[in-house]
Amino acid sequence: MQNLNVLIVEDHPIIANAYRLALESISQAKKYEFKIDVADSIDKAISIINSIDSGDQTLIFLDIKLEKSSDKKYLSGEDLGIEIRQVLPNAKIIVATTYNDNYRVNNILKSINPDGFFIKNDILPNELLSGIIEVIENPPYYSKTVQKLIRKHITSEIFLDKIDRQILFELSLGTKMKDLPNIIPMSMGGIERRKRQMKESFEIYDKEDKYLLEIARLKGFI
Amino acid sequence: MFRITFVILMFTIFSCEKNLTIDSDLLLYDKVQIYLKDSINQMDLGRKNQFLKVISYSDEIKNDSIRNRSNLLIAYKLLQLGEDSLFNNLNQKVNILSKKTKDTFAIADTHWNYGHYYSKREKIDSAYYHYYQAYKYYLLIEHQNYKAKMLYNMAYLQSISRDYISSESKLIRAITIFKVLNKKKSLFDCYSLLGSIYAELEDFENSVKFHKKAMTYVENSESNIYLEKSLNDLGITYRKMGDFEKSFHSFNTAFLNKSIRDLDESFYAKIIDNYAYTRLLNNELTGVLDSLYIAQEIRKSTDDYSGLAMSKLHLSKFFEKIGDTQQALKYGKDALLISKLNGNNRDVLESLILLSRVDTNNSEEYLRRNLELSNNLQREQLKLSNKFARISFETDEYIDKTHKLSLQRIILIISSISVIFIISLIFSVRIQRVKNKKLELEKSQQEANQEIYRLLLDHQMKIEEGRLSERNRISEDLHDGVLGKIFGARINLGFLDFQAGKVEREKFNDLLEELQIIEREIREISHDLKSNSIFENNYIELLELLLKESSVIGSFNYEFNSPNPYKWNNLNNNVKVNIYRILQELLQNIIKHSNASLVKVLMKIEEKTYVVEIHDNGKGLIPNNNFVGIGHKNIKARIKKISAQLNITSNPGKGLSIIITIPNKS
Repeated sequence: MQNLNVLIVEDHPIIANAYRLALESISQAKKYEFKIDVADSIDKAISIINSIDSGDQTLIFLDIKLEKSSDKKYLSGEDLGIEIRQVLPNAKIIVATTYNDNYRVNNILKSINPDGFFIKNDILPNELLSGIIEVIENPPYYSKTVQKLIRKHITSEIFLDKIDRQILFELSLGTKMKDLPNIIPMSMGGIERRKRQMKESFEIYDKEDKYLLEIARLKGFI
Repeated sequence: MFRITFVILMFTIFSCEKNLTIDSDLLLYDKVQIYLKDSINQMDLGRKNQFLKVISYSDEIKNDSIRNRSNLLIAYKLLQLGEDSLFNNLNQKVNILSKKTKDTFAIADTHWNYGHYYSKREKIDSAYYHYYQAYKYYLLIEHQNYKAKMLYNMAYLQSISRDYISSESKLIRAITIFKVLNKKKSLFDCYSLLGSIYAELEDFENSVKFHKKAMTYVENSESNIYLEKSLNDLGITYRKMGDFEKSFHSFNTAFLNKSIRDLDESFYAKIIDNYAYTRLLNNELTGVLDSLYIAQEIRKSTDDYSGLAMSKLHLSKFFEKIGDTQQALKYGKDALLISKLNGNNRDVLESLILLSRVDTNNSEEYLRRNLELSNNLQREQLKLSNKFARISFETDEYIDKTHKLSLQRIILIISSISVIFIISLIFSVRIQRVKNKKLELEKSQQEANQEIYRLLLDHQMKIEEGRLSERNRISEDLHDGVLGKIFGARINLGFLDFQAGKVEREKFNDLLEELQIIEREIREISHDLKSNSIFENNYIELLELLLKESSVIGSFNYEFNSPNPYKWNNLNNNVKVNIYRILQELLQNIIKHSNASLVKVLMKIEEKTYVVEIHDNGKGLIPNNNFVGIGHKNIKARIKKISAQLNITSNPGKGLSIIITIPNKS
């Protein structure tokens, strides 16, 4: 019998319940003993994390789309994940999110480096089970969408840094060019230059931003 | 000579303008000159006819100025030859014409002619008047030589009428001018006359002085008798001084010129007469009578009545001297008669005195007549000099007036020019100001247009933004809420442990997978909602929106086609707004008038132009109510403003096609 602390950070009770059912199913078959906590907000999650002994084996289900914390220190599950990595370096983190856009996924991979990455829509109940086991026993486990993305990046020769990606992301959200300098720590001229460079690397040169976004989406940068 | 050079000068000036008529005129002028030369040689008979012919030639000359010249030449010749009636006619004609054409020079010439004419007839006041007129006109045109000549002529007339003081002053003025011009002959004339005047005033020293001075201006020559005339005058002066020695010397010097008689018979008679008379006075009687008789005969033959009176007088004096009273009386009476006929009062007076001495019986009667006549003469002289003064005064006034007038004219011209200048200045400033204002207005209109465009875009952007944020909201709701919940429900279902047959179990799993597919679809919908981001300044979308809105109002279908929409953004905002407005106006017309059910708008970019085509399938233009409404005027004005071209093709009953071609300037 192996004891594991499990924290489910999830604001939808129905999903939290689904995880719980999955864990119960595993504990019957594999004889793991799960001590399950559910946090439906970042504030709760923080207090629970702080109460956990860092020496214990811990598995954390982390949703990304969360209300920001009351002290506004953590804006999303991503910020929480970074915090967990610091407080509980040994904890195994499973990011489970509905977000499947490449930009977000890429960012999460870089910032949290999760042991499991589930795009909620990817998975069937069986996969959920096998994924969780995989994470506990032989991490990492990435669901299909994430695997595809990683593959795309490995085969692509184009390199875009964080700011490039951010520019593309903001443009894809429909943010206006004139508002970009307020969001991205760069001048208008700098942003324009980067856009031009990106267009050049995508070989679309003088075309509209729309084409840039299309091709970036195709190549998995957004 | 001067007249001719002047005429030539006139020709050269005129010939620049009207060569053709001038050429024929010149030919006629030459003809006149040639005939004139001939006419001198003709005898009295037929001369008149010859002159009439010449005058008719002269009248054919078309140019007024040249005709005047020609007529003056003829008139002068007529005057010289004593054709008085012809002269009078012609001179008057020229006078009138030249006054009409304001040919001052010709006017002066006619007056000179008249002066000459009256002077010859010894109508001294009329002659003086005309000389003065001539003087006045020459003064106006600043012809110095002729002006001085007129002064001399007037001085001569005044000396005849014994107004010596005025005469002297005129002569001195004339001399000053002649000296400047270095006119030797004229100076000679002036000094001679001056010498004679001083002789009359009994200032003999000055008389001699001036006569000698006169002689310095002429050469001693056999071919003329100027010097001899002076010597004659000098001889008379010395005689009057009682210096017979010098008097004889002068006369003898004159006689050295042997050709005197050939050159001037009457002068020859005069000098012989004078010489004889001087000898008479010097009590040298030998040969005197013969000489006096010779002089008398010559004078008779040359019709020199004034000289004849003098001859008779001298003869009378001779006979008085030798005591032949009868002969003396006879010649004295002859002298009186002839001098009366001549109107030579000086001679009349002298005759009367002589007769009073000779005819002792009637001595008192002659003396009384002498006194009466000299009194009369003095009165006449006074009157005449008054008349001279008056003529001068009137003329001076006239000159003053013309000077004043010309000054006024100059002032008038200057002031009117300056007024015109000022007005034109004001005018041009005005125009400039209006232009500036127009430019300002145009500029502000352009700015307003750009502002409108900006507002339009802002407005559309706001709508877009609103729509987008709403879409984002729906998308996020779907994604974060609905999607998560379906996922949760699906997993929960998956772990539902219920008793069922294998078939049911498989069906259940299929449904779960179906649910997963639904999730994916929802996610895709959500993504699609989100990814349709807007772009800044999308002009074509703006136009399409306009078309779409109009299609709703006008209940027609529309097709909008723009192959490369983003390039339209490069157009200048002013052009964009104007195109927008034109399209708006055209769509209004389609809605109001055309009854169209389909409107096609094509916006394409060709090599150097942007083209907007609007086609509808409505009524087209009604032939009599063509493109004239306010709306159309506005469209045309806008087209002009962006220097585009408008091409309208109407197919009544089938539709209207409008093509706008905008040049690509940038």
